[in-house]
Amino acid sequence: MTEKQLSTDEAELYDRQIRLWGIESQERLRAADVLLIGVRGLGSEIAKNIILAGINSLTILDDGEVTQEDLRQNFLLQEKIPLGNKIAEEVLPRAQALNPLVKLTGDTEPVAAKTSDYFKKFTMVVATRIKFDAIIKIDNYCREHNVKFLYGDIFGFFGFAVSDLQEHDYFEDRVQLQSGQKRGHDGEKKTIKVEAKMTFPPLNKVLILPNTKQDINAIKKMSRPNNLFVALLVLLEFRRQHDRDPAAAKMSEDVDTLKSISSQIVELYNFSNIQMDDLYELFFGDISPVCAVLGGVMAQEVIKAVSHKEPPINNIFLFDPVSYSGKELTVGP
Amino acid sequence: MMVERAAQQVLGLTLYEKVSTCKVLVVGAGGIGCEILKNLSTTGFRNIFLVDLDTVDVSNLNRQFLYQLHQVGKSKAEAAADTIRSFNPNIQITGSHADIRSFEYNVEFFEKFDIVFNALDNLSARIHVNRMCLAANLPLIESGTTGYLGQTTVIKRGLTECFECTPKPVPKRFPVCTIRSTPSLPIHCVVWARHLFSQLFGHADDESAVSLSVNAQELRSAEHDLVTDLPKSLRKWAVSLNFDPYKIMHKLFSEDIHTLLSMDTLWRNRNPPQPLNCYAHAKTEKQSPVYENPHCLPDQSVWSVDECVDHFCRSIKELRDRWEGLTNDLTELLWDKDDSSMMQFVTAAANLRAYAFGIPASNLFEIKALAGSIIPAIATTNAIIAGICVIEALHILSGDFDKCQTTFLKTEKNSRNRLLVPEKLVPPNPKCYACAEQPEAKLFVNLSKFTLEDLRSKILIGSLGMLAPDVCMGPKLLLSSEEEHAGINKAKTLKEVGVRPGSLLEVEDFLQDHKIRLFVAEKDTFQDQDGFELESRSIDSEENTSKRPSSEVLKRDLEEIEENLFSKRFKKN
Repeated sequence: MTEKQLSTDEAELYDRQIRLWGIESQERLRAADVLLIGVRGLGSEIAKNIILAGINSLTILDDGEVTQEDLRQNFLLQEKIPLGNKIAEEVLPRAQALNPLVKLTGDTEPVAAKTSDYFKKFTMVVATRIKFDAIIKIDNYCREHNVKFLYGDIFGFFGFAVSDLQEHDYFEDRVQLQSGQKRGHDGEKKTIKVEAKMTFPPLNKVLILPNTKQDINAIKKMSRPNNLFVALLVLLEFRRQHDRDPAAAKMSEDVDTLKSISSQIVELYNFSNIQMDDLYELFFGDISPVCAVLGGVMAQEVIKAVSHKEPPINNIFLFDPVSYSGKELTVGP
Repeated sequence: MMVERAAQQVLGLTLYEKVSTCKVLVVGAGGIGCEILKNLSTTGFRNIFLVDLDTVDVSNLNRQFLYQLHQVGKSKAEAAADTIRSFNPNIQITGSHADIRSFEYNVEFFEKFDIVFNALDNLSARIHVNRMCLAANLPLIESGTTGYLGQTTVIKRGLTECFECTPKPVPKRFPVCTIRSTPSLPIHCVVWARHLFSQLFGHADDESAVSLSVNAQELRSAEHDLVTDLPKSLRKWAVSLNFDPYKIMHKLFSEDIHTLLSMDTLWRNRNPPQPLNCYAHAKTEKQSPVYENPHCLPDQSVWSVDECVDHFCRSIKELRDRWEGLTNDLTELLWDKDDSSMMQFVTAAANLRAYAFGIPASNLFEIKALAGSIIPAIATTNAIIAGICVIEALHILSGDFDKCQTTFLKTEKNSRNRLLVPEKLVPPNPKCYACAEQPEAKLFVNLSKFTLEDLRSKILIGSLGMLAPDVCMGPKLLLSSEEEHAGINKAKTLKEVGVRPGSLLEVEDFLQDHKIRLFVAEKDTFQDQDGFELESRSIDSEENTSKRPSSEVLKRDLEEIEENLFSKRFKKN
């Protein structure tokens, strides 16, 4: 995609962000075509943020129908939409109003129906609410076509994101003081651009579940196993086994199931000292402000990835449901 | 309803009840405000009052997503309320296009709410809301963002530090001489140019464009502007010449430079300036600007001296015509960084000065940021911080204050893998001006020079964040917020009205329900031009000596608000 110069209207609209990340980043954003899978609580936040940022196009892939829950919570839906309509189409008017310059498309097909070629045309794919098999499959497709991939999800107060940017080149702005000056001195500071590179492992070597064909030798001994990383795997496994997420209406039996899955994972990875009892009840429901936090973090990762500016998270982000800290974890062979 | 039941199960019935009946006040409908409002709506809050004094601008639209292009110029509070209502018609939301510091928003008004969110961008409003929440004993969720960074915290009287318990960073201050005589950086030239604009077309005594320090008292003169050293009669002189641009440029960039050059001592260790011959740079034909870099906005080209001269001529004529065309008792043009002629003028003037002093010229894009104090801003930072704010509100409603915390949002580079960093809340500072049981402070002034007006504007309003203070010394009323006492001559010095070393002044702000006792001490000379020192009364007085926000800064905030309120652009729907 050629990067044309920004028009006066674009320069005016994007003024405050151009002053932060520079005009070249804005031009690269303007050339990016992004696929977003899933447009519920988390997906709609991601959509809002990257539409506002000014990408070229956003395709929203979601085969689901509008529910009461969606109407209550999803700010991209207008009030009087009939239940049962396709959500990927119904969010488009509000989404377009966020930024008339972005080309929006709704695709109501199921994710499972998409083959490798479908993903070829995108600069980046961002996925939410998909099952484990789909995560691995789409990651493989993306790798075939050098398309960046980011997957994230919310379970109650817990949120996380996992990236695969493959071989990623980027620039960093580094402030350089003139020689002979002390820090904080009132002199001229020069900002220089530094080139850097990062390599990401494929997700089937990062997220490994029990009873799959994955290579368990790829599980590297983690010096300090992380509760939240275990939680991430447990929740993916729950979804894989039961074809749904833990449900508030069935809280007590689901907590038991989660606990037993947890022991399986701990055994598979040979972890010790995993204390998760306090956490299980926090994994239920769709807590809007948590969607807002993770949606912001994931959208910023998309912006960094497609503009090749500033170091991305490599490769897992974990939002702690108890302490509200947000940490980066690196997992892989 | 099934949906409500699901929400009840997730939040718990009690919390769900509290969320849907809770009355929330949101102060500010900008970047953070829009995100907070959306989160409140999606989380189930049903009762919101929103206050914002601003109108929608195009540059807001990259992140303040409740607004669209067709709403530019409209009241933010009203537009945001309309959009939220369209998300969920069951929400009771009122949007008030007003300043939170108005007298109608008194303690009684605040007491109607359960939680207050600050989504502001200036210190003086934050201080005021802090006072009101202390007075009304309401939990306050405070937040701020700039660029990629952000933070949020919770304030609760008696439990946590209030906003004023610790000193806040004071914006950069410039030595006056640097601006007047020995600039070395582009910002010095921009400040000078901004002042030049004020003298020619704007509010002539406007010192608010600059935060000054060092020896300014000595440099003050009755006839010359403090910052530019240009005669206060500059505008009259310009009028007499019909604002002839070449004559004006000749004075500013040639004659005045010659005068500076004659002061040898200034140039002993510095590169002296070179006067510009603006007549020689008169453009005979319009040249198209050369872009160094194809990835450049038009505003990012740096003008040559020729181009600066050309832009100076054109902008000064345009501004002159506008100024002469003012009607309705208006005598000044109001500074607006988005006004292209004003920016053209300031850019041209700043760069001409820069060229004269051998300082690298800057482009309009950069100068606009300096002249207009623009802070870069994006949607994601605000989204993350606003998410945390509403999570804190859920804790407060559950009564779990021990789960509340301060949260910092950092970037990859400065964070060592920790992007969101929580910190425990800190108990109140027992010597705080605002929240201590009996706030007290010691004031050092020169009683023969410091006037009642200085006391009012520099101390009470400027440093102590009050709005409408009353001051008593024993039975004697020194200052009053009420009209009937307009007979008080504020130009009198403290000595003249009977204040002595050791006097005790009792200060009260009725609106903020805030009292403070000031103990007065005599001092002859001071480090900076403010002419006072303020200390909270404690044993470790060194630690507590005021690093208060500069009186200039607070005064400037207030003046900017007043300008906004009374400017031509203030539209009541």
